[in-house]
Amino acid sequence: MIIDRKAAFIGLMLCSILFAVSVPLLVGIGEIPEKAFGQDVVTLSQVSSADPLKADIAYGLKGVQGVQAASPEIYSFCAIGQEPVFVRGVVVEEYLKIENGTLSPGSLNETWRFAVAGTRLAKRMGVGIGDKIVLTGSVIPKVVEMDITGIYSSPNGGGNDLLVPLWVARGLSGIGDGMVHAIRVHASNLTAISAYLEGTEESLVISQGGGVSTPINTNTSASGTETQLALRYLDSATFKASNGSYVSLFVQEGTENVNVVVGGFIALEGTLTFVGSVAVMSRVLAHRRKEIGILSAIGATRWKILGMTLYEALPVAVGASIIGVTIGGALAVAIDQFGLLVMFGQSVVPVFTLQIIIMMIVSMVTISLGAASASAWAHASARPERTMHESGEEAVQQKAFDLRRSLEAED
Amino acid sequence: MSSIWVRMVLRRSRRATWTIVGIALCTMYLTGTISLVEGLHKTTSDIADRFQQGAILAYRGDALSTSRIPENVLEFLKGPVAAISITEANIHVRGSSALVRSYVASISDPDGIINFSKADAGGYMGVNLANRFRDLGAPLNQESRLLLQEGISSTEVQVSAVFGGGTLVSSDWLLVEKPTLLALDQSLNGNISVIVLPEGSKADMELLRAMGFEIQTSMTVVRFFELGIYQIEGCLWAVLLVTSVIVTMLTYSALSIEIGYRQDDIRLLKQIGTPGSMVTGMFIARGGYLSIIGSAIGAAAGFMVANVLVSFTTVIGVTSMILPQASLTSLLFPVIIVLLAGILGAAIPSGIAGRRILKEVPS
Repeated sequence: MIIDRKAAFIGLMLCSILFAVSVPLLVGIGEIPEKAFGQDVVTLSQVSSADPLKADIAYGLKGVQGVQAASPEIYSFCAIGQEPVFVRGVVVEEYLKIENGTLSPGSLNETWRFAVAGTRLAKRMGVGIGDKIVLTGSVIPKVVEMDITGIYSSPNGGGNDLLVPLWVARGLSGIGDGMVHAIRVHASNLTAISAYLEGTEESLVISQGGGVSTPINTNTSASGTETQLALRYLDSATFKASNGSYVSLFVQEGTENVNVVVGGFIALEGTLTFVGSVAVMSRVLAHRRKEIGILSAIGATRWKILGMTLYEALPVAVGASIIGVTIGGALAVAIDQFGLLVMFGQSVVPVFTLQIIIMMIVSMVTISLGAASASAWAHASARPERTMHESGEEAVQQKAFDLRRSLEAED
Repeated sequence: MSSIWVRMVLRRSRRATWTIVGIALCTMYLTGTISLVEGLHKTTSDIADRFQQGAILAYRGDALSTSRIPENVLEFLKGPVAAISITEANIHVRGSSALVRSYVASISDPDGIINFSKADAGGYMGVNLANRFRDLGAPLNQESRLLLQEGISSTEVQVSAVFGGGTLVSSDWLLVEKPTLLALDQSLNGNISVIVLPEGSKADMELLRAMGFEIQTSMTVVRFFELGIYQIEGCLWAVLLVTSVIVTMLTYSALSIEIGYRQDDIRLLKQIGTPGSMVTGMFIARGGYLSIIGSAIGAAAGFMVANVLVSFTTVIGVTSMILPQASLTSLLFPVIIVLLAGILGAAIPSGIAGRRILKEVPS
């Protein structure tokens, strides 16, 4: 037997755990914009800050064939105490239909002045129904006091926002009466929606999942909805008059800086997992260097030793990867449940799909076998007489320290 | 024997050199990333300070309507200041059954900070409060009189105008004169609810913060992004913790291999009667020695590589404003992690080998 299976299993499983904790969370980070702006539904958004979207379109859309819900929304980026909060101006009933959300027991059926916190936000802020919060303006100076009138929860990692009436959100974001940033629609008949919107003669952009955008009554081509919303929000005339251009720069630079750091981490994470596996396999094979030396001495080629190592490592790698990915996945879920990872007020929810799970197991098996190959090749390439010698000490200089000689000299 | 002990700890070999290189790389990675995370924090904080964030609000507790601040606090402040007194009340329109629970406030703004020209006059109603009465079937006009009630206190006020959304105060507030407010809420006698400072009043803001006030700016989009980036730092620390485990594993493996190769030395030392603790101590010292050398080199290289990486981001077309920060954390955290891993990596294998060899060679 070339490898110490128990030691290899424990080491590779630890590497798999670390890998499996990181990957679903990193994928989750990438999905935050999609969750915030709801790419799973049809989104109507303004073409530019000079052409705001009328909330009335949402009320008109409710009569269009195939439309199950139409939620007019205003987005305000605010801070309450030390918590960045995405404040969403909505009509609660429509918003909950879009998100498949529900109000928790005890929530008040208030329609004029309400503040409904998502379950995750309420947990982070330590607030409940009846508590007061102070909201200040997003891009214009404003101060508003609100009572928390309800808590909502929504599947798929929602529940991070604070829902307020459209009139409160207009006060925070400085957009005009009757206007909204976007309308999100649950619909089965996009053709009917397009026909209705063309009839309104309003300029807007329809965005669907997968980045497909259709301009209506305008020639403007549109990129990703989340980009439009974020940048156009900060492009509002009121804010521009104060310091909008600086903030656009701030957002752009901030995003790039974060991408540099996070991108670097992703690359280094994969590399470190490989290096960690190499360390494990090197240590495991180092304990068997005498056996490898004997094999070399009796004529086993490097390829033969490599083949034997891989044959023994494969079941260990598969077992360690499956168990490691399972434990790592459970840890990622625990991190989510405790709300430990939050970015811009949005919880980082680990993403587990069959493809991701298979990808993680295959990657870890590949990394483990790669690490085993690298270590086995290095040991098999050494001269047998050196490998078989228990010390294997190689001096930096010719005068190596030798304990036996030193003790004899001292006697 | 002591000189041999020292020479055993400090002896040089090609494998020891590679162990030091491995440890240095691990430390470099940890130091570099921590200095980048700390650089991100400082850059974000510096940039955020450059933006307008509106007037500064200071109040006590969690809410404006329950905050009570003695008026004499204003005497400690050096710059211009405005004050808002506010309470909650039931508002009835005389001659109708319409009732709305909302906020009644009075404003003192001698320096024009709030930018509300008629702030001291009474009976100004926010447009959304007026809309609410309209929706309840009680549209307001110049003759409308309001009955304000809170507990057993009540007072009346005539609506003189409606104000829109272009002011600091919320459009669901009713602005009245202070005596009217006092008739409604005696706890505001000699007290105010909110102190409003003009933007940039750092000295007064810090003074109020030191006095235990809640401080909030009236425009928070920049603060949102600042706090959001700080949350990303939290994520990065978590990732760093995960990678620290890998680094610990690497260092442990490197040193346990290094110690594992010295088993004939351990056997020899046992044969001449060297106590087990001394043998283990020797290898722990060797592990510590290699770890310290490696981590010192790695820490220095980490700062250097982080700076180089940031400089090179412009080559790939990304402008990075992060300047890696050297701090006690970015220096000590990686060194301690690596040192602990190194000592463990030396102690466990030498202890195991020692016990095994002790059975082979009874002293």
